[in-house]
Amino acid sequence: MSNWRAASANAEAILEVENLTVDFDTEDGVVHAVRGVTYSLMPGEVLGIVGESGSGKSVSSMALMGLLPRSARVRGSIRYRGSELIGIHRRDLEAMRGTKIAMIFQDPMTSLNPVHRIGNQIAEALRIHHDDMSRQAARDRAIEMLQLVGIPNAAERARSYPHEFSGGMRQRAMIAMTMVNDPDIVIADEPTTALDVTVQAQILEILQRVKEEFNSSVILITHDLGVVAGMADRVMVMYAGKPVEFGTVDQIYENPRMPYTLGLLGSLPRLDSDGTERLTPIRGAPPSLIALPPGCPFQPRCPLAQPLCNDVEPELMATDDSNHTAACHYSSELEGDVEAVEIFEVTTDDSELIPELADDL
Amino acid sequence: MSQSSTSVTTPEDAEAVRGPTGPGPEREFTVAARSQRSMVARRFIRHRLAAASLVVLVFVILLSLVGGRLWKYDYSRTYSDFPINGGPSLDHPLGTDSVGHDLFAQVLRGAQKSVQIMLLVAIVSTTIGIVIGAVAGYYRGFIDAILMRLIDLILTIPLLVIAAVLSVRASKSGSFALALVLGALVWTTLARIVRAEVLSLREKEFVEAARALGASDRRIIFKHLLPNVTGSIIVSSTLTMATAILLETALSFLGLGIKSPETSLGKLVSDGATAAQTRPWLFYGPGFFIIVIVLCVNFIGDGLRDAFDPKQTRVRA
Repeated sequence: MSNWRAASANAEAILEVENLTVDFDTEDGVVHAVRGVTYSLMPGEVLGIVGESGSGKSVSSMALMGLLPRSARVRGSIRYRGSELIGIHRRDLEAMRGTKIAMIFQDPMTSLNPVHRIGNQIAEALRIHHDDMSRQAARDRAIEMLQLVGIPNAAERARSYPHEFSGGMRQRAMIAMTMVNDPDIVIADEPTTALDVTVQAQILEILQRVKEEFNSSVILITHDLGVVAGMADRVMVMYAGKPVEFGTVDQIYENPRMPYTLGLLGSLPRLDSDGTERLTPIRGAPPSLIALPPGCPFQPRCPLAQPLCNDVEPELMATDDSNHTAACHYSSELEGDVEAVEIFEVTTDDSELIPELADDL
Repeated sequence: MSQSSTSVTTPEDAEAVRGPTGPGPEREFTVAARSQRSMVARRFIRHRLAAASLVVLVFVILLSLVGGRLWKYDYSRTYSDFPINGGPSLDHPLGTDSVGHDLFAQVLRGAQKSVQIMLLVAIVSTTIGIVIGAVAGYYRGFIDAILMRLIDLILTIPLLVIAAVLSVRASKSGSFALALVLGALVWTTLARIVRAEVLSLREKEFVEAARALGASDRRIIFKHLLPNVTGSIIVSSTLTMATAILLETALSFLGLGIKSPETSLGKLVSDGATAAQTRPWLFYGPGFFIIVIVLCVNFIGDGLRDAFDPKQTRVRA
């Protein structure tokens, strides 16, 4: 963990997102993909954003880059070092992309142009923002970057085409390409989802190393809670387009105060348990973002739901620690060491198992 | 293309063995990696008909470009000592006409004009086709609709009719203007092909990645999208050349293309057509050249299409 808290004491937030909303007009109605996201990112900090598919984590980050399709209506405020990004001219936005805010994509198989050599692609990324740079200088820099992300024989491999690289190598090349313009903020959108578990660990390690090297802040979007735990400083859990819990990694993992977070953690196998505990699934599916009922969006799936939850959607409220906020009327019920099994019902029944297996338990 | 024939220089597991850093032991296969370009070239050469056509076409083009200067007779001069309407002989391989021109000299000159027009048409139509197709495919929506209707409009009017009308004016200002007019009419197929490919390519993640790196639309179109369409562009432009030479021939045959004293293959065929029964060499000499050039270009186009097609298996690289 980096010392973001020490840094935040005397440094301004590098990015402030305030009440960001994104709506899409569709034939079925308006989809409220992001319904009010507020956070700030400190220099050098790693912010993890977790949530299931459709929770708005990717859309909210694409909005930072101005990469959403034109049909998207983005409102709210995004300030990079104090200057507003929403509504600025396209050319100014293009100048920001890559140099101030850059992005690593999920699938390294398709995010590299198949007809260009790896080294040239990285050099090209550099020359977008440095017209005066010579081809040779750009190429040398590209090779340096490839070395930095751990591509062996970088000078030679720079002449390879993407299809000659393995998945892990491509994601490294992608990281090199993203970092070559020394961005202040890197948005990593599920950087490891398309990779093997062993390669995932290497990629995260490289991401961490590169981040330190360039002193960048990282927004790490993932649905893999393990990835977040290993790398992030703070975590924002999103559900149905809104953050539902926000805190440091330790706070979120050790003492989740929103039933959804607890459910997510409870649905994962843990190495520190004795192996006899049941995993607790969160039943049901996320709500449609077209016509949300007035209450808490998690209410239909929530074991703690009370009549109040049906009517009033809770805001993010401070729990026992002011840094740790949760959007739940009854978050105090989760205070202390509450296990998921205590709240969520275990839905599987041992009698359904094959007898021999059941005996082992 | 044909991943299987590209040597696997970096097996997946070698990375794990080496770890993230350090070169580690050399574990690469000894098969040399082939670049895309050399693979296409190799496939093309294996396509015998296409390769032979290329040789013939290059020979014809060289002959038409420099042959006229080396040949003992001048195409524009009438020689009073020539046999009138003489048949082919050692001295005059394609015979002579009624006013004392050496037909071989004229065919060389005509072929030169026709090849010049062909190349110019290819350049003009490819440029227009690429730009219009890429812009339509990339921006979609309104711009796309306008440009595609423009193409529909050009395609609904018979090509020969517009060409005839436009070239009456253009041919006064020489073959260069004629080529420009033809080029401005035959880009439609290429534009449609480029548009279709760009439409699907623009949704690829590498385009979004380029945008996330701050690339402008122009940069994305020219540096990221068009290089992916190169194969189709080359094939289509090649086939356009054959169309161009036939179109020029047809126009000149109708008396709307190249005018005297300039000459082209089409004009020579036209001049000889009246005597096709009695003095066939006047008609078949230049006609043979047209057929050779068009066939060669078409075979080359065919060979290129096969060479660029990763799925074709008939000719292995």
